[in-house]
Amino acid sequence: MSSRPSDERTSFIAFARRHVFVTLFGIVVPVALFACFIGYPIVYTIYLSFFEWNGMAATKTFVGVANYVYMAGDNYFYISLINNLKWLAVSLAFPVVLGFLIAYAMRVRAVYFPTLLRTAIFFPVTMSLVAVGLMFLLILNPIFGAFDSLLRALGLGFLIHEWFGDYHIAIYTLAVVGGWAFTGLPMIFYFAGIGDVPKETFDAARIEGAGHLRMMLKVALPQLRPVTAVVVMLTLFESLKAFDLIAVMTKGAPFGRTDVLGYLVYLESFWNSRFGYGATVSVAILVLSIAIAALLLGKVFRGAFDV
Amino acid sequence: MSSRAVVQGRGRALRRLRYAAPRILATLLAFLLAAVWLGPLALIVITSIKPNKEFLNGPFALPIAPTLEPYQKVWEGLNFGALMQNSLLYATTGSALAVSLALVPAFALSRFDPPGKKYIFALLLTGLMLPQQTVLIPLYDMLRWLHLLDTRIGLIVVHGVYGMPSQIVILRGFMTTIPREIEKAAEIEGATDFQIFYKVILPLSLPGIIVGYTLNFIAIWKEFVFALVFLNSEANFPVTVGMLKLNSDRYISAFNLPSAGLVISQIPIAILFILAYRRISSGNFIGSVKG
Amino acid sequence: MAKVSLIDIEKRYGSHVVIPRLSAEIADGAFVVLVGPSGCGKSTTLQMIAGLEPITAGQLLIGGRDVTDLPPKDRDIAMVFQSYALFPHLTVFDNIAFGLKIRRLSRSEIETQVRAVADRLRIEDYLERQPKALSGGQRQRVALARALVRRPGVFLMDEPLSNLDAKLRIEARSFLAKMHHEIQTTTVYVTHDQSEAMTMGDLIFVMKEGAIQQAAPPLEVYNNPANMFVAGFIGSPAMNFLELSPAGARLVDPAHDFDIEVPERLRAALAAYHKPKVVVGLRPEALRPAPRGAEPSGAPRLAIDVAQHLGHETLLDASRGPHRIVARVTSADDSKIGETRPFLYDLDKMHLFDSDNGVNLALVGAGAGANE
Repeated sequence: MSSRPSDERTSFIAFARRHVFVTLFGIVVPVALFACFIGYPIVYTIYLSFFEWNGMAATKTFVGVANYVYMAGDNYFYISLINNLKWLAVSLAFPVVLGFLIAYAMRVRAVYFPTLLRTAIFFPVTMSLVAVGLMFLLILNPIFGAFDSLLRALGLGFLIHEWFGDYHIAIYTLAVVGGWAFTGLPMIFYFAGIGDVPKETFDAARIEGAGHLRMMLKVALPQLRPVTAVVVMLTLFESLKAFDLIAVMTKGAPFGRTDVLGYLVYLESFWNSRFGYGATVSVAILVLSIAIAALLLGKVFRGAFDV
Repeated sequence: MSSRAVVQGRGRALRRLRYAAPRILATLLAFLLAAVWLGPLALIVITSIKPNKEFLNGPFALPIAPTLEPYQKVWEGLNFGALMQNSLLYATTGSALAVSLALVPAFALSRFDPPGKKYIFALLLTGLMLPQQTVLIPLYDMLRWLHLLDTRIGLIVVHGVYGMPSQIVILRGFMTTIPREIEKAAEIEGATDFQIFYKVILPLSLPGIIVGYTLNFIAIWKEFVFALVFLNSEANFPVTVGMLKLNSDRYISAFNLPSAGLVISQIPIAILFILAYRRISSGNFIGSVKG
Repeated sequence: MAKVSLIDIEKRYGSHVVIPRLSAEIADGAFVVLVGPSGCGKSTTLQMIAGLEPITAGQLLIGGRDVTDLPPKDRDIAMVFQSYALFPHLTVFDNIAFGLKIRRLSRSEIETQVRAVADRLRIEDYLERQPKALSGGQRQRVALARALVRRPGVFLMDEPLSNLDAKLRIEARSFLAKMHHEIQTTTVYVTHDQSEAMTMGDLIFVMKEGAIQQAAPPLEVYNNPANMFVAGFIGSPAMNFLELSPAGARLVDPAHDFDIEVPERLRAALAAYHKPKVVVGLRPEALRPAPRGAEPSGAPRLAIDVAQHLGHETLLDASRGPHRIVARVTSADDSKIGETRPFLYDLDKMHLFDSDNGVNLALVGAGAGANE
């Protein structure tokens, strides 16, 4: 249904005339709200990134691309960026894969009492990340924490690390905790998705002699490409948005080594009163999101959504 | 004949056991996983009712003399009553706003083919994937300019508008499952767009509305960033922000206190979860999100 | 090439018994059709033979081996599904080769076998396409190819023709029949379409509520149905049933002037039958209006309700009181709607059924019983 731009415009007016109610409340209102609360802020953020502003002064100082130059040289920016990517890697490896495996196992009836597992894994999705963060602060506490005690009791004491103190692994600790809370989501998506895959393709594969690994890789996943696309995109956005856990658990410590981009924006804006630079980092997040999303949709998931 | 059946039966039982073995193993693994997921929660509950003097018994020791004192202390110390009320307010009204705003757009996108539909979908997608940090500063500024900073209404409006895109997706998905013929029948009877929406689609979308509302409710209850940034007075804090205090020296040293706080903060959602889990996990709404 | 034996097979879901106790022998190379209305258990039985559904009790032997608890891949079977169950993201070639790859055949081996089968089914031009680019008939042949290429001992087919349109279906039927004649593999075929069962099977198993009502070759089932259910299920238009009262060697309904003669061969059975009512079964082709002018005595007089002219034949709906029949007559018939005419019936083709349990009376006395 490709039409020339002028056709679209005139037909839109024709449509609007015929369906006043729908156009008004169904299109005009949401688009207006979008423009106001979403569009405008995005534009404003970009605008702000070229200024210096402490958030309270009446005037903002134009500094051109100075903020961007600063960002290119900002160590904390790179640490944050890499942390976000590490977070993304963990999120893809752990919750997504595990979520899929569990959903598959439940659908092929590989376990007894599937609802127990499903409920257990999904519940943390409903918890606020503040609660999750606090919870694991207690559990991973080096002195009184249950986790270290458990490891010692199992004879695995040598695995104990400074979960938050050791800055090499701190971000991974955070990402794994985040994964613990997140796994339920991919699981539910895959559970629903696998339910839509015709049972007979599994039956046919079984008759031809396929084992579960082959069925997962060759029957289930190929038919789940759209679901995987949605799940990966969701995981991507969640990783780039990561904020809550860092704010609650480490606040960027030690030495800013657990900073993530989202937290950096917050820090720079509301603690260092450098709103302009905060905006710059925000723009970076936005660009990153769009870039990776476009890359994924264009290359990896090309054609996933053609029926 | 009967003895042969018996021999067969025994061999059969053994064979069946062999074929059930992988399933049993898988189930054990599943239990282990469930333990990893439920473990922390159970632990926190146990810790929350442990009196202080039992701490040195170790984190896994069951409380000998369980007490609700930590709950009392935390409830008063953090003023949980007010926190809960605020969270409840934000979640109920915010969701209501988001759902209400989303209904007609969902209707429009599921039934009609307005020119420019592609652009609207693109807009929706942007709204869904937007990192909050990108809009944090401008929103802050906007709210300040509207004198809505540190007000309940301000936060509710933000939640309402930001919940709208995902609600549009969910509700639209549900609405596409309503057969077109019903609508055509109403049209033939002379109903206007509004009447079709109000009398036909709306009532039939009720399950979808319930699911969408519940999800949005949970999302707002969990929400942290906006509440943290846009509110200053303690009186307005929801549970998520108020809970931060548990990380202070006053509370964090005695584990039973933050544990109790955690449990309290999760009870409303746990209840909602139990009530609504069936509906959500039936996978229907996932299908609509995909679509 | 294998014999299939079902011995006292039982299927239960919790406490709900779907198939009480089913036994059957399927000879090597036979084409057996399981036919019956929805819910009769035919698909469940097929799934149990395939290993896709566990057998609650009983034994299943394929080729002499006890496969009751073996997974599908160890049973030497292949299956064609109603929806074909092709792997949508694989090419036709890969679809067919799926099972061969698992069995670790060499590349060249696989290549040869797949091409051979594809040639035979005339889909060799589509090997590089994906299922979504094929028509329904082509997809069905791919599903067949996938099953054929492994040369299993038993073919299982679950309503494979139901998704085809009427014309294709008839073509596919003869194709399958020819194929079976060529390769002679034991086939168990499930369908709800009785005409399909009649035209395709060496042996038909008519099923109802989890039990086999009759297992016999098609013509036997048609001409000597074991009970009313089989009689009414097989044959289209269905057999006519008239409930009358026995009176000596005749069957009567005085209120409506019915006085039917009983054929010699059934008189003994009728004499041994002591219930107040009996059901007479006459197929549509066993009834016709008497030639004009003739007034045979004892012929029931029925009023014509509808006359359907199909071109090659005519179907007459006629009734009297509560008794309704369909008669199959030549297109030369000139009955008019509303007319009342005397009807002749073919004694050789008459059946008598017990009005309570539907059993064919001819079988009761003889001691034969292919029913449960």
